[in-house]
Amino acid sequence: MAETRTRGKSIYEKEILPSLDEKTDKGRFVFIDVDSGDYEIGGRYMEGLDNLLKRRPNPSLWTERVGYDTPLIYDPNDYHFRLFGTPVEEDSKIG
Amino acid sequence: MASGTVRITDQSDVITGSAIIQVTVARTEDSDNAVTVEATVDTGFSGQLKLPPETVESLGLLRIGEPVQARLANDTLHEFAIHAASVLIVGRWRTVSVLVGPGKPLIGMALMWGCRLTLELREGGGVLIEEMADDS
Repeated sequence: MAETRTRGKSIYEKEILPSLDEKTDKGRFVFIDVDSGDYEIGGRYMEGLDNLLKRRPNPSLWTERVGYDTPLIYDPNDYHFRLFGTPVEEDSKIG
Repeated sequence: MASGTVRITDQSDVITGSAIIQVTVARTEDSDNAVTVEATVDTGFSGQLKLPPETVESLGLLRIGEPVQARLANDTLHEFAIHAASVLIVGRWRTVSVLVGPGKPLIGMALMWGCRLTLELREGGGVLIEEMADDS
């Protein structure tokens, strides 16, 4: 997992992030196969993963979410579910 | 639309009713190893789906990111791994996040968001999850 994380973050930061707008693309999921370097920039739901799996059925998967440190945030102290797949722009608490 | 049943479960001296619904889960919607699980509708669960580790392993569900902390109903914090799954509910496949934890499968608020949930809270009563029109 540690190696997947290092390689995934490197691909995301060097090859993918420069082509994205952190403001308009905020909240989009990015699914990366760190073995092949292939990736899929999805929407704000997780549907994009299916497209990557069609090309790479057994990826070493790393997932990023544009504008966030972690793709799925769960606030343990709050009744809070929006980041599990609903558009983040509706959520003023995050970001 | 998805339908299920309200069931009475007798756990030692505590009798509780649960709203049970069947959901089909797979690694992707094209997978040939989809399973149908009986999941409890849990409006106190803010995520999409919770599955036991055996199911996650047998389906080969892919891990997403790093584990998250979640607070359970008994007010304790636990760490859960997150995996991805395709789920057939309300007549269509969706890619969702899965909390991996022991116990029975649960479907939570984020999976039912945008739907109308109807419960007939008596033994054998109906459980209905329907998509709502955008303006309802």
